[in-house]
Amino acid sequence: MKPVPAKVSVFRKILRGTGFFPFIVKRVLTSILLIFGMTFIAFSITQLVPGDPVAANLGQSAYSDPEIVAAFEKEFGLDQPVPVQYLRYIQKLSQGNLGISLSSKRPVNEDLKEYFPATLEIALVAVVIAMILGLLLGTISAITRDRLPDQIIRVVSLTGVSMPTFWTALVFFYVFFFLLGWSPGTGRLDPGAEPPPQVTGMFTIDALINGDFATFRQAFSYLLLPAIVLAIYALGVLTRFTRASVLEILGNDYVRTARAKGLPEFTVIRRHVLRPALLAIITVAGVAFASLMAGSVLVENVFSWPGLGQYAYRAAVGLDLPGIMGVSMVVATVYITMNLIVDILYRVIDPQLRKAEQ
Amino acid sequence: MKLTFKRVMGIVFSFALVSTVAVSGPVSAAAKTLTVETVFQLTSTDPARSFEQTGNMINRALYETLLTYKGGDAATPVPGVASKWSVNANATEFTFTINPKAKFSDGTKVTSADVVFSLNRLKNVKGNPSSLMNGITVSAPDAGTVVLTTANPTPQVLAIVTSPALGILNSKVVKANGGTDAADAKDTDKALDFLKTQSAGSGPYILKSFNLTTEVVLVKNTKYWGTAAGYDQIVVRNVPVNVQRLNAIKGTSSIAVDLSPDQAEGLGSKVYVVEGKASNVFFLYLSQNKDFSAATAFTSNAKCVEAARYAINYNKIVRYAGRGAVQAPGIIPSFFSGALKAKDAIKQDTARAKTAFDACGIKDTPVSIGFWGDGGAVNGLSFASLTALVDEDLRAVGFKTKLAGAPIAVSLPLYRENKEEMGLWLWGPDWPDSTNYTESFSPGTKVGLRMGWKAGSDSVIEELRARASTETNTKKRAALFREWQIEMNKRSPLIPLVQPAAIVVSNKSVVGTSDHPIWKVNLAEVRPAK
Repeated sequence: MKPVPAKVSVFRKILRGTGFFPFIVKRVLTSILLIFGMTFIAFSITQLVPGDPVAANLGQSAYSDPEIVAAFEKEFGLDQPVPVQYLRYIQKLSQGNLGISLSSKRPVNEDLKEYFPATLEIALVAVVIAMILGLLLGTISAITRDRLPDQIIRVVSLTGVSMPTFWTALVFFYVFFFLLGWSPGTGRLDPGAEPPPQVTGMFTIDALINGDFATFRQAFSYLLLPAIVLAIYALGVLTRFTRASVLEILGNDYVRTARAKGLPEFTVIRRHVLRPALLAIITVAGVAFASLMAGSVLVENVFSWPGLGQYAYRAAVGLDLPGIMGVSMVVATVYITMNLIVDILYRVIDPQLRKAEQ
Repeated sequence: MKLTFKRVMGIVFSFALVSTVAVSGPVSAAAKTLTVETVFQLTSTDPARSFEQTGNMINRALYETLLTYKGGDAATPVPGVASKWSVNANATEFTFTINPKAKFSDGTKVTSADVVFSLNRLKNVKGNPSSLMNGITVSAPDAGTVVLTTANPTPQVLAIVTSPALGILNSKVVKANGGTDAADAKDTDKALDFLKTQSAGSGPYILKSFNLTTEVVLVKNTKYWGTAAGYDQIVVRNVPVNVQRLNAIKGTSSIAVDLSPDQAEGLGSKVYVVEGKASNVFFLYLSQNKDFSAATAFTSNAKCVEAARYAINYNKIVRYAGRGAVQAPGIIPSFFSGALKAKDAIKQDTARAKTAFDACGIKDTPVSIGFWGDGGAVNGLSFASLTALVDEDLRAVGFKTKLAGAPIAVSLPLYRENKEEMGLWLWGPDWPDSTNYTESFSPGTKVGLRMGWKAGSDSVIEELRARASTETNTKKRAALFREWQIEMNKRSPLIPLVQPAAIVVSNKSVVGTSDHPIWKVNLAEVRPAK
């Protein structure tokens, strides 16, 4: 029998291991496979749409000119059979190249570098708002069960979950921009204002990095209203979920014991109720964040927010296959990463899981 | 610390207060900035590759053409970069003399070499507008003269050269940044990225920044050779229509481009409305491709077309289209040479429609109407609503119609590939001349083929088309266009429906706003009110 090379042996050991590090390695490898599987599904679905990217992207006269049509097809590789197109895409993808967008006529990598941070910025603020207020309101609702604050919070959270996001966006924009004048309007900055030099692509962060507080203030003022609108649904879900989790834990013996020991109520809630409740809440928050990233299209449209949602919409309408694939990759990566983070946090928060692994 | 309800609510309200303070800051505006709001139809600011409305509007301000039009006019060309021009007797040779004062934004003179480069580059990059140069050859006998020649009489060349796609680029600058006008320019021209970051034209504005989804910023060309630009900066922003309306009412924008006639009502005292006729004409057609489906075996029948033509309640459609809309008496819009008058329009005649329907034989065969269905709307008219109105009238005379709307990426190819039984679409001109219509809707032409109407299908209409395309006398041309449309209304599968209004809403702080069929608003003409 041939001896197994040392490197392979180490790799196998990691894969067969049950500790934290092998867990991470296995999850990352699975994630890469998942992303490649997703490319196949997304590519196949796009091909099933009975549309023609050439017709969607060329004008009425250009479409009637065979030379222009041939040049367009050649430029974007549409003159090749579909399996060849897919293999070429995968080949480029393995080199980190997502192709050229049919609509913007520039590399999809560059497009995503511009649009993804805009959506990430709005989603991060939205999830922070939803997490803080969701935990707070959910906990208040649980500890004031069936009393007035609980009733009010339940109605509010139910409303948040029930309202369609595009409608909320339109109403909030009308009220806070048009009627009250609290919001500066659409876009990310004032008309014609210079964006801060790109570091992260998130204007608020980049402005702070550059020490430009005026731009930070302006960028934040544009960011806040769409982020609040985006947060409303997640806030409703998190509030209701936190309430249910906290209620379940409040009935446990160890909570009663803690109270009987005379611990302050805040300490009881923080240490003995919220901490165990966090496990379930983090799972919901992770999924909520990923869905905020993927579902921001309507909010971005109302607020003219130049993010991934608007880019995805334009790519879909124009049958821009590289654009659609690029967005699908980002959304899939976000979901997979969030699930990974949630799993890691589980192990950090839950001592029982850590103990089991040891 | 005890966690009381009061304390928690205090935290919540503090957060809300901080947020409110953060959002309530003043909206700054640079001095003499024109803010134009539109829903972007934009791919780039490279004249040779841009053929969409927003691109045309921006490029009009960055690049000048040999000839142009004033305000909303689309009939009488005026000097652009060319100060004089002449046309030979049979409209095959067009000679332009370049204004010796014309210079680019870097101060260098505009020469005939720049014109030849720009037009040949347009022709050879095989971009969206390249077909405008079909059949046109450009040459430069000397540094101040450009000659455009065509094999056949082509009087519309004077209209074609006004298109922003034929904008004159500084050839030295563009060549230095990867541009070429060579025959293989479709593979070798690399100037697109450069032209999205900087402009290289002779217009009153230069490009400061370009973003495909947010805004395009232009700044004043301080070396402009003509009347100085009215603004230090123009910001063209991508803004949804409903927000355009709110901003117009608040007075926070200068010009709103995309409001419908209904949306332009009740805007308050800060704005005025420029109302014109849209260059788009909506039409219905019946496929003449008799072998395509069971239904088209009948729709290709002249009686079926007659039944549809007289079944439609055109007044109802005009009412739906709102303020300023008119019935399209022919496919050529009202402001072009040879447009038909209202008295020439087809009137609804349900008795005639029913008789024709009985004679056509389609009876209970279902027939689908294709259209842009995912909320598609142009000039405030929804394709779905318009099709529903037509559908109602067709059903009233006996057609078993079904609506077959689909997203534009799906429905447009079906229309372009003649895979519809009936279709409801629109046509906007590629160049402002009636030949654009005779050359697109006659048998065997672009839309003719989309309708399955092959060459040789109607000798009268085809002969009128041929005569109109080569006639150089203005009055005779107009008469031929009229005659062509009257014949089209008798026998073609095309049924013109409505020409909507075109609305531009302008803040009262701005003057010179007009509506143009090709570039919508000429930003170079817009100035601050005194």
